[in-house]
Amino acid sequence: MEDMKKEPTVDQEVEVIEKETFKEMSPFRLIMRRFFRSKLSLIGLIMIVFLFLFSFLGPVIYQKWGETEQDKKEVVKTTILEHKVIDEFGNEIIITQVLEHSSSLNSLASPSKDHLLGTDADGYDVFVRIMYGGRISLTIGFIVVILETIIGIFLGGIAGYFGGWVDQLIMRIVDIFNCIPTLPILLIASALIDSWNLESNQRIYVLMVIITIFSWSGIARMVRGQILSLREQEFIVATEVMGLPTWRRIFVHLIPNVMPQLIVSMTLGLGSVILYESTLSYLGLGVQPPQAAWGTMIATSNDPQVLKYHANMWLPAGVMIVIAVLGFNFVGDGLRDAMDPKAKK
Amino acid sequence: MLKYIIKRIAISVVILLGVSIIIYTMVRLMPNDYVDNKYASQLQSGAINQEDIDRFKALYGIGDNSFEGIVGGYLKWIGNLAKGDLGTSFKYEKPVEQVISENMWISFAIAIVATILQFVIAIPLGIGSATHQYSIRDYVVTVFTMIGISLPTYFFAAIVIKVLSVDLGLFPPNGLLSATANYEDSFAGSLEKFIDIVHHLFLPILVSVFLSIGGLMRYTRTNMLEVLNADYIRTARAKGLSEKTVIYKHAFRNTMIPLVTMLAGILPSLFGGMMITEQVFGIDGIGRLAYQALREGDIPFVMGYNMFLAILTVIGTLLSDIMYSVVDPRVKLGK
Amino acid sequence: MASKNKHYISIKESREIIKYNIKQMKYYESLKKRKANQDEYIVPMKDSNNLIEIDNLKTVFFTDNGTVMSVNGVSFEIPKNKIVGVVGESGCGKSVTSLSIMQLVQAPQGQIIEGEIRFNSDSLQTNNVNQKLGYNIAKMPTQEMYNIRGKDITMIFQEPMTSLNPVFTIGYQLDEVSFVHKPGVTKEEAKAHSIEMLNKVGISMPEHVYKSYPHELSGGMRQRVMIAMALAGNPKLIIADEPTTALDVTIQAQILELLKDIQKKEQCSIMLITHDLGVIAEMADYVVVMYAGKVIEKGTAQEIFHNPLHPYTIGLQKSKPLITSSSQKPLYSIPGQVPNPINLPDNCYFKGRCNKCCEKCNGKYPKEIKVSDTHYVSCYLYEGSEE
Repeated sequence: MEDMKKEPTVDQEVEVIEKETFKEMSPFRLIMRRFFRSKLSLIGLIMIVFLFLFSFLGPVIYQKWGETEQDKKEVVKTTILEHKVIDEFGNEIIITQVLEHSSSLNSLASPSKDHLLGTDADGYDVFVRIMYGGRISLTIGFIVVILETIIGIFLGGIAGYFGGWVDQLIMRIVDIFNCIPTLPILLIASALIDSWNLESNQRIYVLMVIITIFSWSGIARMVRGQILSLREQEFIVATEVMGLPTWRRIFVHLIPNVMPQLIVSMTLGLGSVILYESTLSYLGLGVQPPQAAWGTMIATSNDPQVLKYHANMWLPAGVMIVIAVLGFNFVGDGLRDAMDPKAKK
Repeated sequence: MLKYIIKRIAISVVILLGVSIIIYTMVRLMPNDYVDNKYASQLQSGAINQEDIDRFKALYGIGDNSFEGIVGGYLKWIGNLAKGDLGTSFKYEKPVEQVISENMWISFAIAIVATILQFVIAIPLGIGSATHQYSIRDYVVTVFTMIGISLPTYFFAAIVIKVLSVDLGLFPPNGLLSATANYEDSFAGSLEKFIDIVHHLFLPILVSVFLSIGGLMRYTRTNMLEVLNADYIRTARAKGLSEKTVIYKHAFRNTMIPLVTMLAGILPSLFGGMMITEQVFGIDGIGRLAYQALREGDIPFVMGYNMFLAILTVIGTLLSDIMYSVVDPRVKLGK
Repeated sequence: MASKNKHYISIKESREIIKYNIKQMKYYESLKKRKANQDEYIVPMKDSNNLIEIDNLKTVFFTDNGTVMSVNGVSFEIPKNKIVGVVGESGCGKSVTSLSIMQLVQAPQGQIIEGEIRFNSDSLQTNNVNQKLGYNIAKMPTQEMYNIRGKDITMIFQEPMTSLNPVFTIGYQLDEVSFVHKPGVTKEEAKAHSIEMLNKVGISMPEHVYKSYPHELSGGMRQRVMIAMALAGNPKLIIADEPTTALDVTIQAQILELLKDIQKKEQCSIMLITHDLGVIAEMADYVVVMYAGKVIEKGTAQEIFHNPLHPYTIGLQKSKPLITSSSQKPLYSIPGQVPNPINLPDNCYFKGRCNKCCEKCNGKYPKEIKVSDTHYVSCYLYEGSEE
């Protein structure tokens, strides 16, 4: 019994010892450490930061050309034609014909100091248009992902929490949307909005809504699965026993526990939305010219001449798409490692 | 088991009905009306008048774009479907079933070869990455496969065509057969033809495979990492099994379980993605036909094609559930 | 903000730790992969009657918070045909000690950095009759370890629910042991052997269980299967790492009885790891008490139970609920917690929790004091009472 009385002092002593000898990583540092464990997360983060600065700050700093500003400089264009002629002695003669003509549009220019990445067929500056294209892609990507997450949390949460026929109904709707082939239906939908003759700005909003409609089902399914498994866990059962109101249980105890997975799937989803948007633009069904979009810039490569001789017109836009999607994928993977409670230290 | 499959098929029919309603409505609302397109020039030259066009439209069953018209059109379409008739393609002027069955083989061939290659390449890469986590090998494999996921099909296709076809001249840029070639009707002739086709299909398959390895590889890697931490792996090691047996027998069998669910999505998504691949490489598979049909408002064919993909998805999901119970002894169907 | 808190590691320190860890892990991993000459890991045994001699074993984990000394200079012996019980609170390093014997410590973070684990193998003969040779497991390359694991030394784990591979039948997993360790064995022989093992562990329908999958069996049955698997290689040592913790009380007694029975019949040794002193009293011939990665007291079961010396051992015994003690008296508990094993100061680790703490305890970590031929204790209280 004597030992019991001593306990408080002994306890204090233990604490003192621990403070002296034992240091650990703060929770914040621990998450950072897990995130940066893979070097790719860092690379991904750099890529995304670069992309944002380039797209949103770039046009503010580099104001030499506007998005739809044609270079009306008078230029002399040279076309070189070669003719093969065989004279009466059987000698092969090559005649080179050099045509020079002046044009009031500096189109298809090669990269120069004036145009860092040259100009396209309309005399627009490719470099500047890549920045504006980035704005569109990132904006659409973020808005779509946020929209689909809201829908996903809402429907998936209801299905998972209430179960029964509500769950059955919502999950069948999810199944239906899951079965619709994404790319064809997006093409049909974009062709459909073609007929509404919208202004290019409004068209982008409609485009966002359409991509959202056909991509929320995955998130809803994930949220439902998570909530179903969380509901079985003791700490949620405990909230029921404690008599907390339903809304509190859902929003204070359930949703925050789904957040880590949600953030990961949002990051990874950003990449795929950017890909869909650029594919639609590539097929002429997304962002409409003269507004700049990476997809439409790559579409110029359909012209064999451009494909062969003017790589500056389509290659950089493609590289930007790769940087964007890759960056979000790297960061998403890093976040998964950082937030996964099951992961080792 | 049988009861479960019947129940699943019943649910699938409901899902497919939902899918068809959505797609039909959207297709009908599409602006590029087939009849308008087809007769635009004749209308301009005065050869026919607007009345004729309206008559044609009624003939094609797309005249009435009101709500009732669309509902009626849909009911007619679904009624014919119940009789096994998908309608006649406006553009190709043949029954839709025929157009699909005549042209799907080339798409299937590409998709299946690409799927097999994808599995054969991605799974070993994923396992290697997981067992050497954070090594240089892991980084190299991850970066390369992730670049694959991040590349838009048309962009990668453009690069591949430019470098391997236009600049280096190693492969033909498009089509299935060399335009100038003439093949004899003998064994040697058909062999030559086959080689020519393979030569033409190399680039599209390369593109499909490279773009899809990443997803599977990453999935394998994640699952493998999880399985390698399991208690039964420690037991296997404690038995004195070599590291190879532990990984390729004990861990791999467990990694397979979640991989099977991936199977369900792979084939339909490959088909969907092939729309662009076929278009870029000028291969007349159903993807390209559907893309062109879509541009011209060929409703029966677009419907047929989309339902074909939806059915593939449904079958894939059902198959993966059945496969699940094969691979994982803990899973009993119907529970 | 985090760096201001003294309790947390600063970014600079953290970086150094990570750099150090990577270097260390690479070094020890390469040691395991090397092709070693037999001489490098064959050592003479101190006593030919010992099956295992653990000598100053140090197993550490290289974590982001620093190097954790999980096993910090442990020495004890496992004699032939005896049951040795290892007791201690969770986290005291008893499991890591057993995993070290199997070379199964979670790599690459966990590494044996010092000491010897001598395993007395009959296959090694010398000209000298008095001297026996053994393998030093601590220095053995992994490749060589495959021949010992599952054959000479086997292990039963704590969690029977997750320790069997869910996708293979019990039969397949049992047969595997025969296939690996008896080259040239036929399928029928392997099966016959497996069925025999299932019989041995008291499974009444071995043919049926042989065909079952793990999820079709109860926890107790699975643990029996694990024991059958451990027996299949005719081991000299079975390590049982808390084999009954995850089981129902009634099943616990059965499993322990079975283990005891098997030890007698098969003429092998058992290293029984548990935190339950009752189990140890029931089963063990020798007892090793561990605390914070060190052995604080070891001796025969008689000595430890009737004459416990270390305050910690005494505390452990007092905290055992007894049916005879009056219900008025609250159950004794040792105050405080096991100290975190990073950067431990060089003095008695139990000091902060000890109720017999004295001046001397502020000094160096106490030496091992030999009280009798078999009884050792590390505590300043017994300084001078050596035999």
